Amino acid sequence: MKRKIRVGFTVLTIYNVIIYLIILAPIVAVLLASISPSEAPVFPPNGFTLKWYLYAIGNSLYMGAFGISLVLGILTALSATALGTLSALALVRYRFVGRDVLQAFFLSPLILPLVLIGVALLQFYSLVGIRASIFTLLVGHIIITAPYVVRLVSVGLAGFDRNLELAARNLGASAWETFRRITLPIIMTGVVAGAAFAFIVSFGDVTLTVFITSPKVVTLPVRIFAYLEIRYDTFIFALGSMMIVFAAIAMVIIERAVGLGRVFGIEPRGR
Amino acid sequence: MPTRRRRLFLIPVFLVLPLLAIFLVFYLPPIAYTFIQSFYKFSPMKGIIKEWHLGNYGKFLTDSYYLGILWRTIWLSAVVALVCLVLGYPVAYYILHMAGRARGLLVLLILSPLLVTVVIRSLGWIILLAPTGPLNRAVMGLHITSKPLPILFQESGVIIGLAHIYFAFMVLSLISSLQRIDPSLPLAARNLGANTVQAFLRVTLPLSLPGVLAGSVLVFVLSVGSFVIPAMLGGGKVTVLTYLIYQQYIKFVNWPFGNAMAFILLVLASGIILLAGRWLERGKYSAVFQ
Repeated sequence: MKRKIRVGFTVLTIYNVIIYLIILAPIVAVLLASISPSEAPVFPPNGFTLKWYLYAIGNSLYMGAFGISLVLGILTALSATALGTLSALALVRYRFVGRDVLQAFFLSPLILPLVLIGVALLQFYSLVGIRASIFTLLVGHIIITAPYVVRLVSVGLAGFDRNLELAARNLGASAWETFRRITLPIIMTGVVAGAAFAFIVSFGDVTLTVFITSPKVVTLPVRIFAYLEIRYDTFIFALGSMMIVFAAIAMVIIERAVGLGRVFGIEPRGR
Repeated sequence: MPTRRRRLFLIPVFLVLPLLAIFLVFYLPPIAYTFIQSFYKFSPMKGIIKEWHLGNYGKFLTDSYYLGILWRTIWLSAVVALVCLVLGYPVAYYILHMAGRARGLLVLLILSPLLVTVVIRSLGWIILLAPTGPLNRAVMGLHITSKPLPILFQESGVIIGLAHIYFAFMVLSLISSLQRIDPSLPLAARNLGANTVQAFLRVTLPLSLPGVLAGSVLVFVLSVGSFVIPAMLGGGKVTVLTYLIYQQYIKFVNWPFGNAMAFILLVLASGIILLAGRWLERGKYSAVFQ
């Protein structure tokens, strides 16, 4: 009996190792394909070169798009986090007429297909006559990322003991001091998680962005997407690898700051 | 006192105002305008004609070409949900049977590809599944087939790509449901004479059904709305609803028809969510949520 369980568990372990390898395979494939000297992409690589990276770094079109993606991601993370946190505070802390409707309204972009939000913004901008710029992209990205912040901060606020704030006020702290020294540190995990989600979603989005970009303001993922509709060569894998490395760096920063497990809500709070 | 009460009432208003302003200008009106436009007429010569009719919806729902694409979108998404469920259940089960630290690490590994944009992950699949790629070379090297398997730019390639990106959502959903099962229940079944397999099939599996349903609905809805994977791994040959909408805006200019399709997409996605929600609340699993 014991032995049978052991065998079953070994089979399960082997199965899981295979699944995990498959999950990581496409990312490893992009990294390895990028060092191939041949122009036609091959896997496994048929040599070693960094020339595609130099080519990518020297290409102002793609580095410009990379810069736009980066600035847009940071601006989105900052504004969606600020606006979303304030709204979550109101939604969890106060009872007012229409609170449930408002909450559903703020979370609704999560259910709507991104394509619909994209075409709606495209038509709205062209109706009103707003030209595409980093700010028109920013507005779209705030709409699709703020719901994550609202939800994550709300979860953090729900388990919050309000007596801590009352005690601080009783001991002479001002409202602002209480917020900064008591409330903010406690909801910080949710806030940072929201910011991380907002950045990741904004930095990688194509489905919404493809509808509201203009030839002059294009993010890197959209540029790669458009490039692949016409050409397919090793250069594009070098660009892809740079995005992967960038994501890995972001991951390390988040891990150092709050712990990735907590960001994704899988580890107990008081780790 | 009245002034103080009024001030208290104003606080939440000030807090939600910035986000509400953005939503009330750039979210609600565009969606409403899109909905209205979906009833307008269109002529290739004159452009958009502001006359109301139901023709855009009628055209989609009566033409077998469009219905075929709708049907393909539905069944592709259903297959993706099923693949994620079948492959993901043992993973969720395994993760839960790990000790704390290893468990956190395994969940992180499952989630880590989410940090990389879907364009790059599709790129990885393109090179892995290509006719000269490692998968086909392995298959042909083992003399399983003589010709490369038609995966890339076919429905099977799209299914693989979608299952890969939404796998994590299914596993997380299953974990949260499996976690809620009292561990003494399968143990009790074992004590009463059931073997491991019986205890799993008769106790653990039925109790995890809410997670199964929630995860399947989530993956289905995400797949129905996905655009990048069908576009890239379908190579323009596997047309799904989102790709059709994209074409309508980029290549043709019949926006009213594109709008009607975007709302059909919305009805499809939200309809499934509502149906599943009903079933979860009313059905025999309602007890699990109380």
